[in-house]
Amino acid sequence: MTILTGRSAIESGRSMPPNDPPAGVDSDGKRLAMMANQIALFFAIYPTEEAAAAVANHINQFWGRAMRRQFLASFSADDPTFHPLVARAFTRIRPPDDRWTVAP
Amino acid sequence: MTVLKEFDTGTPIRVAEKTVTLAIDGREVTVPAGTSVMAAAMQLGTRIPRLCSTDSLEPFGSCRLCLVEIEGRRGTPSSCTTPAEPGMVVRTETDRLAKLRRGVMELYISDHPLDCLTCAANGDCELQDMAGAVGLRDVRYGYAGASHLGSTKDRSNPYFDYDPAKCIVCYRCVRACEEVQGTFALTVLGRGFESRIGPGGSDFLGSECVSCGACVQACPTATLIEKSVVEHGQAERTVLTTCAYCGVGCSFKAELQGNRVVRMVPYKGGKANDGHSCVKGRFAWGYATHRDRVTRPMIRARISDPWQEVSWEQAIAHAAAEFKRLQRTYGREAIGGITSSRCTNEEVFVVQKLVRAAFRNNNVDTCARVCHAPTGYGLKTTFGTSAGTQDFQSVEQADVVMVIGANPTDGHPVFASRLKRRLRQGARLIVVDPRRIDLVRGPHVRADHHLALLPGTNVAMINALAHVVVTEGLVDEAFVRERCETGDFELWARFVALSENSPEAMERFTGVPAAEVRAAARLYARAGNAAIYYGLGVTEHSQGSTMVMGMANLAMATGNIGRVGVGVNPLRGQNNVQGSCDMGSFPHEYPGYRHVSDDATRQTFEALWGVTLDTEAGLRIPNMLDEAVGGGFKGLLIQGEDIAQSDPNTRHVVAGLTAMECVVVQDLFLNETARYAHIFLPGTSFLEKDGTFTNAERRISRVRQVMPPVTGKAEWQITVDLAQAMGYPMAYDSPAAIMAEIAQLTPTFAGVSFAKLDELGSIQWPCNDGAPTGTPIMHVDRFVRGRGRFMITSFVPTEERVGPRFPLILTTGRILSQYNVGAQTRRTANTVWHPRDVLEIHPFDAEARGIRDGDLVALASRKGEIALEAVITERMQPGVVYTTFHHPGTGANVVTTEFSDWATNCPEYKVTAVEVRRTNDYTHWEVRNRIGALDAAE
Ligand code: SF4
Ligand code: SF4
Ligand code: SF4
Ligand code: FES
Repeated sequence: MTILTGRSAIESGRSMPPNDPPAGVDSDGKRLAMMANQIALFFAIYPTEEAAAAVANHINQFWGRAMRRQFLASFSADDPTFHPLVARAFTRIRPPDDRWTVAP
Repeated sequence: MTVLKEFDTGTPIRVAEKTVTLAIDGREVTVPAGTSVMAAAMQLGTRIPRLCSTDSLEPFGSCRLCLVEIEGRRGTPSSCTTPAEPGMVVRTETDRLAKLRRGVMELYISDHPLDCLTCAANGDCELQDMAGAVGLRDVRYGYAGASHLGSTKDRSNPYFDYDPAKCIVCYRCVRACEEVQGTFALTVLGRGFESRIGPGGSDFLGSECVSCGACVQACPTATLIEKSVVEHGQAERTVLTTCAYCGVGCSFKAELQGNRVVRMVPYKGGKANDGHSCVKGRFAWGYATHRDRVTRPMIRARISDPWQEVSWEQAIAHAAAEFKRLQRTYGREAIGGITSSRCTNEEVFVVQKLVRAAFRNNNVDTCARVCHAPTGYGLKTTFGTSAGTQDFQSVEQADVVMVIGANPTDGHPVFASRLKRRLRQGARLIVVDPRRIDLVRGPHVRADHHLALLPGTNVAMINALAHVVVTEGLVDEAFVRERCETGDFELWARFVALSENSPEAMERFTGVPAAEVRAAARLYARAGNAAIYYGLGVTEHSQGSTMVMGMANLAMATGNIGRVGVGVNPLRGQNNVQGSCDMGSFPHEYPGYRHVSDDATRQTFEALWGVTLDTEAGLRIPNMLDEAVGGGFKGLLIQGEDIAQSDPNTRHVVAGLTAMECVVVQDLFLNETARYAHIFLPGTSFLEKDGTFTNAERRISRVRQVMPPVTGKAEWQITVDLAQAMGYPMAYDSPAAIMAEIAQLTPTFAGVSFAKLDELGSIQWPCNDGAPTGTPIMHVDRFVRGRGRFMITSFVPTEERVGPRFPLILTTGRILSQYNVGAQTRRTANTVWHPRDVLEIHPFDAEARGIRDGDLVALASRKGEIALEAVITERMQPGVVYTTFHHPGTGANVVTTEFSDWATNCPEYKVTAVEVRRTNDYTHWEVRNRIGALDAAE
């Protein structure tokens, strides 16, 4: 793919979007599932109950509302791509509080 | 204000418990044992004439100007090399001494050009001063004899000149290069009258010289002198400020004529740098007035339209209207902001406040996401606070230093100079890095162990080191028992003791011989004082946070926390990474690292800010971009960041940016990201800022305004105006008022104010009632979280695997003369050292691919392909290639992937599976190269 760069390209005011289709679109939430599995791998060494709680807690603390919304909408607890700990933590993931989504 | 001349005691004042009392010219003085007679005299205000000594260097005793008489001793010893002794009776002014000194000066002057009136150092020359001080009136030898007046100048360095005709061979430059900088680039060529200083037989540019400028600063004459002084003349006033490049945060005297910077001189009183600097801070400030600076706000409807200049009022009203429209149409969470680690604490604080209180969500993140977010997570989990444990000075008492995934001589040069000085005194060094960085084998410095692991195997390595500590009985049990959670320790100890964590078992991942790992672990654990310093080679991995916790575990297990000489210390990349994190730039944390879901904390903010605040974490940069591509995220304010160049997987970033309806970029230059922006708000350089930066040792330093903003508006004011236009007034009249609010809301900053900073020079947080002047060393009697917490760190290999198509691992880094995406340094003469990014490759890998040094090669990953020039070097290990990301034309992040740290999403820049091949495809290369050349020529 080509990305033109440099002052001349910028100064002309033209923009050069990439030729390729956008990469990394996470419309099916796969990236989030991968992230959840990564979190599970860190805690997997701890006793199962403690680990599942830690996974859910991490997601609740650090994932924004939109991420949790998409994650919960895209999967169910028994998704075959899930690490067993994600499956266990799934129901403890807090659904987003949608009152906050309307404009201030 | 006039030019600030710092007090120079001539030779260093020693640190010693014993003191000695002596009499100088009939007055008594008491000094620490080991202090010279010259420095003791300075304590009484008696300045003994001198040329070859200055207090940043060890005394040398070559000029013979500083002679004194001492009762009971024969002759006239030189006061710089004579230590003060109890009961000594010294005379500094007698007729005999005056005559001798005049004689010495006569000899110097007879071989010195008498062009004082036209010399660039006129008014700032110690030779001139000394001629006056000794009362030199004529020179008996005449000027006709042999001299060096015809010698040719060396003007090869872009920032300073060397004129041998003016050299008095005092060796100050040679010693500065050795003692202060640690580069050993200068030598004395020839003997006696013939002797001349030189950079190892070549000119300065072609030599080992790294252009730190220490020699220029040390030179008492105009022999080594800044080109800017030659061009503009002597300064008339000084402003004390802080370097805006790396996380060392050097303190500088900006020397000015009116508003023009004549030169930057590192400030001796600066505790981060003690009067030293590197090439970037001292010399590479020209970008601040570069003609590429955009100084007027601009807007455009579509990113394909040309920019249109508008007034500040129009730009801000437009941005506010757009953000409000996006929230009305797409919801409250459709917009967010990114703060900059290059901006001041005050500028960052108001942007995160804008997001939380005016946007009313927590969609604020910072570029620290791509560098030190894992440091925050890892150190907070284990120690309880998201920061390094020591001050820089602490390294002076370390016995063993372990440098992991950092390249201090390039990334943090002034800290590296301190470290090298300690190593020359005999401290031992362990380097954990895939690449043979300069510290592994440098002048008078040699690593005891270089653990050249494969990229992506840090955690395997730290577990192997811990395995040795635990199984060989090297744990500091008393420390663990008294200071740490013992249950967690026991779990951890059992885990690392498993045979799967032994150096022998891990060897197949790390590639490092087990015996070497065992020896390194023993050295670290038995050191006495062992300190860990680490960089992005630790954090920018899918297990970045795990590794940070792994290092914390190791330090706790061996009792290397909570005193001088030890600790776990991140070397921070950008000048204010620490500060921007402290100021609440993360979507889940308020200033002072307190979670947004913590009710008590949130309520204090709500009470002061007069709004209800979101209780949940907002979006991180990569998630903002994901959401943008998905259609839910529409507007972004980007403060001084170039995410299109610095963030991983450029294509994804660009896709996200182009999917938004309103991108606002605030920066000095039209950067890569600005190509996707609808509104451009011109920012200010550090010379125009008023505020504070916080360096890697938690040191808050003042950034003082040297000139008014060329844009007509300070950056904090832009944010305040934007908030106002969005209907949320912020009432600040100055950055000092913003700091007052920070102190009011943040317990660790409670005692910080501009007034106290002006009084103390700088403050290391926490600064509050318990520590009114700040905290150099953390976790002294207890950890911030109470007891230290061991975390189990299983090694999980990254998903990014090499295979037949992509058999090599690419890792990335930075070099001394350039800074980050290079927007500033590329606009200075620093480009002579690094005109473009290159690919470093081991001879073995090169040969297997028929690649010769200098060939154009294609570097391909699963994500993309770029072309650049190959440099064949044994610094690399076979199987690993390396490049920098300082030039946009290279697009190094076109190839990096979006794998990221499990806890923080910090991207995995340091591990990408790639293939390299020769290429004849000059199409893209040529375009880039031409642009690169244009950039360089500016
Ligand atoms: S500029 Fe620095 S590295 Fe170069 S010769 Fe001078 S002291 Fe040495
Ligand atoms: S160049 Fe300057 S510092 Fe070096 S020996 Fe000559 S006069 Fe002294
Ligand atoms: S770039 Fe870093 S080391 Fe160099 S002068 Fe600036 S703060 Fe100091
Ligand atoms: S200053 Fe003492 S010999 Fe030069």
